[in-house]
Amino acid sequence: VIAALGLVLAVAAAIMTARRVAAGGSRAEGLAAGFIVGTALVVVPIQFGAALELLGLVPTLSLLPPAVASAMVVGWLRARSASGRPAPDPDPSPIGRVELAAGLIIGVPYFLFSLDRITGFPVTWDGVAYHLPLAVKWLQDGSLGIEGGANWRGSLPANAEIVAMMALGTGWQSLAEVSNLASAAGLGAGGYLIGRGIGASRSAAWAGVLLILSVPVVLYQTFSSYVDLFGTASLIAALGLIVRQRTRERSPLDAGVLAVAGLGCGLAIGTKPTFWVPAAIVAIAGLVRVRGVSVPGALAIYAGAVLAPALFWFGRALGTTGNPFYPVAVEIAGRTLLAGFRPSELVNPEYYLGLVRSPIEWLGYPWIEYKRAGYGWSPGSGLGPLFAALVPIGVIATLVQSRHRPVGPARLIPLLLLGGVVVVAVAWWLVGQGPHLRFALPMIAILCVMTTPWLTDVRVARPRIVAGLLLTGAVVFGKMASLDPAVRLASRIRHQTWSRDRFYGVPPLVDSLPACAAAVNFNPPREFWSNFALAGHRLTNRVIPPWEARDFLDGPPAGPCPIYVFDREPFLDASAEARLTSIGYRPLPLSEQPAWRAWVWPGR
Amino acid sequence: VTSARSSRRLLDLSLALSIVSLLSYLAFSEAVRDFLTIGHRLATRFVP
Repeated sequence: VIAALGLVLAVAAAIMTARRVAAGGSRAEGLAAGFIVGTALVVVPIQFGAALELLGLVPTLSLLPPAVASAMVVGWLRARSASGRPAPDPDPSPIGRVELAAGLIIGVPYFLFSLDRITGFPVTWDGVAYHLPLAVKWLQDGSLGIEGGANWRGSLPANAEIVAMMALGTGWQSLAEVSNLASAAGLGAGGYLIGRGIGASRSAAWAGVLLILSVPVVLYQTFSSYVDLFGTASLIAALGLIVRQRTRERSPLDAGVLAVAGLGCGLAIGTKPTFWVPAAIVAIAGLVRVRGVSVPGALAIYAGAVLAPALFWFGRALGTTGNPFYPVAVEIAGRTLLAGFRPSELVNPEYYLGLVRSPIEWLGYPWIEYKRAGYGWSPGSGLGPLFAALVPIGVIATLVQSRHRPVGPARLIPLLLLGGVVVVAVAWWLVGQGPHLRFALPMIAILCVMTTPWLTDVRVARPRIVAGLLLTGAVVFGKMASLDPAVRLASRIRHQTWSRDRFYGVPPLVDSLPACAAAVNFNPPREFWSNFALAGHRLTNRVIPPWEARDFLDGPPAGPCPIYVFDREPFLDASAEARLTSIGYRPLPLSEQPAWRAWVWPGR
Repeated sequence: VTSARSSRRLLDLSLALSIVSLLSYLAFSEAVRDFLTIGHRLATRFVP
């Protein structure tokens, strides 16, 4: 109830912020600002409470702070009357019918995915492997503390997992994935604002949003607990607010917008190390002129806003391990300055070879969409038909056309955006990481938006051809992207997998373990998708993931709580079974679920 | 006039390349091939 109250009040504060910002700007600015403020009102108060717990000032982390902070913001916004009028729009024409129709078609798979997720449970790969199990662990421990050691997954900055923890805290588990719809909206609003800022018409900027939303990685991440979309949305919404306000009549930046944009950058920095370089670039973009505030004052506002949702993670890592960037090691010229894991240990440098057979094949990836294993589209793969048709050509055409534009933002900003994309790519190369599609999501969004000045011109010059391309691409995307959720829904109806245990294919026993029971996922490390399923319907089982199971079972069982060991087909060999029996575990009959075996140690 | 004409030519060329680009996607994308394969498999399973 407390988690639900916090989320509802944060959404109320976001809506009020959006209305206030829209009153002095546009609805897209309101949406971008509302997304950032609403998210920050969930993340920052939880970090504050977690810091108090880690400092020993409170015994356990409470889910109450977001409700308190949001209620205060709602009260403050209600007490202040909105001022200002909407800024005059140089292009008052409505969005074209073709773009609206394409939007409806692209919306079909989003609707089907929503239905699938709302009627089911979290299901995406990394999400159920470790993002959501981390949020469950926080709920169980009442702490965001880290242990260091080999479990680097639990030591990364994790703003998105805080939102997931609040969503899981409501008891409606699928909310942890459906809540990413807000990220898709924030990303779309940010993309629209950048498009308008670089001179695109309303219809062309909307088409740019459609390009972004038709990227399969964006669609799949919208309905997942992967964190790349969350960080990208925070960053692009922040950049959109900066670009739009600075380019409108070339006005200096409003201090309030600067603070919101800073929060967006900070949210991205606290999401994942892959956002550190792009967020730093966006943060620099905000540091120019600010209206009515001295330079030191503007710097203080901005620095405070950037640090508010990010500083906690660096402080936590410093206090626990002595390295503020932990789990990322800091090395210079081969010397380790701060211990941790090298980027190559966190992500296999050859990971990208799942999507291309050699680095040169990236040049053809939008048209080939090769994938070594599994369906071509997923949270980490696929750019889609509209991207292939319009983005590579559109970006080049925008850059060529910019020579003919008058000196100003419409000419300068696309070049700066491209420069930013190149700098991030070079930074990756320097840390020895091969490119990976989902880590490049901010760059993909920016490339989509960069086509909008070109789309503005071609819409006027050849409206029928542009309409044909947009609608054809949208129909191909809509049909292909609808297949996955449609098959899932049909399968769920056919096999009646509405209950959690049937949905995940785990023994019903998992949902009725005693409150403090440990559930050991005794499987090879690659079978980590049961980590979240084994937490049980009430999320009270303490799951030991496969990569910790061996060490956990090496020690003799102890403590008052029972330990359940679960082994899924293909079963581990007879020696593993004999070892469990010799330690004192006894087998449990699971006649209703022959794909599983289980053992129990009853506790003392 | 020359600039406007060259600009128009650029737009036409870019649109022509976009059409080729979309057709190339439909011809070469493995995701499209996956979709057609799965769609065919589903159709043969559900349609007698």
